[in-house]
Formats: sequence, C-alpha cells, structure tokens
Amino acid sequence: MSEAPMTLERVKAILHAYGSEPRRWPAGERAGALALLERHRTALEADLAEAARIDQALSPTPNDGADTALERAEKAAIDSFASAQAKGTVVHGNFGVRRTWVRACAALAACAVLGVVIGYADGGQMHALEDIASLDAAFDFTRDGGAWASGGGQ
Amino acid sequence: MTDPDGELVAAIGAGDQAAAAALVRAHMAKMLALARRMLGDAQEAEDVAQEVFLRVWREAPRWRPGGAKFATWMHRVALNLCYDRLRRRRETTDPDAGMDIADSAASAPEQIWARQRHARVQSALHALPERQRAAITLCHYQEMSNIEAAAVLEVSVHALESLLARGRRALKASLSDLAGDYSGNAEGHEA
Repeated sequence: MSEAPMTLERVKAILHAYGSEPRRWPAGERAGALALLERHRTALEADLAEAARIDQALSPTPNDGADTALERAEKAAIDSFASAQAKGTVVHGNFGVRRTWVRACAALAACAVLGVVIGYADGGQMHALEDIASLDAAFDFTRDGGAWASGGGQ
Repeated sequence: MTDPDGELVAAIGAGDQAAAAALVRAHMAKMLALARRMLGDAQEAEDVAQEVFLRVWREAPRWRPGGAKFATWMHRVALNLCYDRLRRRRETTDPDAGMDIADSAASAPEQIWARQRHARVQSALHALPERQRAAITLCHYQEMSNIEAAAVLEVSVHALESLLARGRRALKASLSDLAGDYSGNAEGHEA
C-alpha cells in the first residue's frame, strides 16, 4: 500500500479505518496523507471531523481500581513464575531432565518386556519386528517428544 | 528486526526470576486492557492475563527469535483465550454476561456522566463482532501499528483495514446520539 500514490480517496480510507490521529496511520503513508490533508483540508473536513468524533468517543475514561488490579495481577504473575519453577515444569533445564528420566525409565521397562516376549515366542527365535512395533505403539515413545517439539501453546 | 523482549525471554527460559518480573511489568497492563476490552469483565480479564503469563513461562525456553515479536505472540495468545471465553459464554449463558456495570453511587455529577458515557461506549464496542472489536482494541487502545495488529489477528493489512472501517462505522451508528458531546473536541483537533 505504501507504494501506491496518495489520493483523496486513500486519505479518506485511512481516516475511516485508523481515525484522525496521524500516529495511528500506516507509517509508510503518513507523510503523503498529511501533505494531501493540508492541501485539501476543505474537501476532507467532514471525514476528519467524523473520525475525530469516534476517536473522542473511544478515549479511555479513568478506571477506579485499575491500578490496584494491575498491582495484584503483576504480583500474582510473578509468583506464578516462582511456583512453576519450584515444580520444575518451567525452566528448560529442569523440564528436560525430568523428561529424560521418564524416557530412560520407559526404555528400560520396554527392554524388560521385550525380553520376556522374545523368551516366550517361538522357542526364543527373533521374529520381533512386529513385536517391537507393537511395543512402540503400546509405550508411544514418540508422543512426549512430539508434543515437546510442536511448541505454540495455543 | 530485533525483538525488544528477546533478551528477557531468553533469560526467563534460563530461569531468571528478575527477567520474569520485568516482562510482567512491561506487558501486564496491556494484557489486562486487551482482555478487559474484549470481555467486558475485570475478573475474567485478570484470569486471562494470568493464563497468558503461565504460557509465557512454559514457552519461553522454546522461543526462537527471528519470527514474530514476542509481544505479538502474547497478544495472539490473549486474544485466543478471550475468543474461547466468549464462545463458552455464547454456548452457556446470556450474551451480556460479564459486562461490568459502572457503580455511580456517591460520585459527582460529572463523574456520573463520564461513567455513563464510558458504559455506553463500552456497550457499543461489546456489541461489535469479535474481530472488529479486536481490531479496534489493538490499533486504538493497544497502540499497535497496522502491521503488528494484522500479525496478531493473522490477517492481511488490507483485511485489518476493512475490520477497522466496518467497526468504526458501526460505532458511529450506535453512538450517534452522543455525537453532539464531542463536536467541540473535533473542532479543536482540526486547528
């Protein structure tokens, strides 16, 4: 949009979308729109006044108790970091260590089960590709890792 | 483009409590304001803001600079949490639930008038479709640039402009009876 030449129609569109305050206008178009506004003030007068009225209606009113609420919310959030850290579920290092232990224990358990299965199967012969696959499915080693890597949090 | 919060987020990922406190102080007011405007309920807004920071603590170790700014991601999380709550409201209760009613008891007449006017405007904002309300909140109250607001809403700048223009047009219609109250200010602006 910033490459297009500035026109009266575009200035009107900017006023209708972003309001009358130039600081809210698209940065790349601000100078051009202001220059045109100065040159054609009469033609744009009604649009500018209307935009200013809506801006004024939207202007925030002092909100009783907002400062107290902010202080309370800040304290609660800071405390939540400390408590999450204490649980060892936030910081990368602790989180990683916990998951590593879980995975190691799961792998050991899987080996033990696999050994029992192989011992029973076909007099000890290994035809275990399907067995290993089914154990993988049962323990689902990849699930935690997948969730860990996906990120996002939404 | 460097992320102004990049160093703080990296420090939080390493367990730095002072960095966590600094990020909270830098962004809590905006998270509360965004949620309050979207939900119209101070207590729910606090819940949303707390949830945003819980997600920050969880995601900070995995944050990789170079993409969207961290503040943009935080706004997106807050907005999605608000959308979830609004959806639940629609499914379970009346649509006006959560609207704070201004208490005008024991106030001077001008304060009462200001609060009534504020309540009218908030009610008109609340009546807008969610996306239009979000666009106006991000650009007008959160002071985001059009590019940042479009990134939070995950739309093009062109689509953002359309949301803003439609939202402001609807506000103009629903607040037309207040128009006379602002004529002096509009003239002042043009000087």
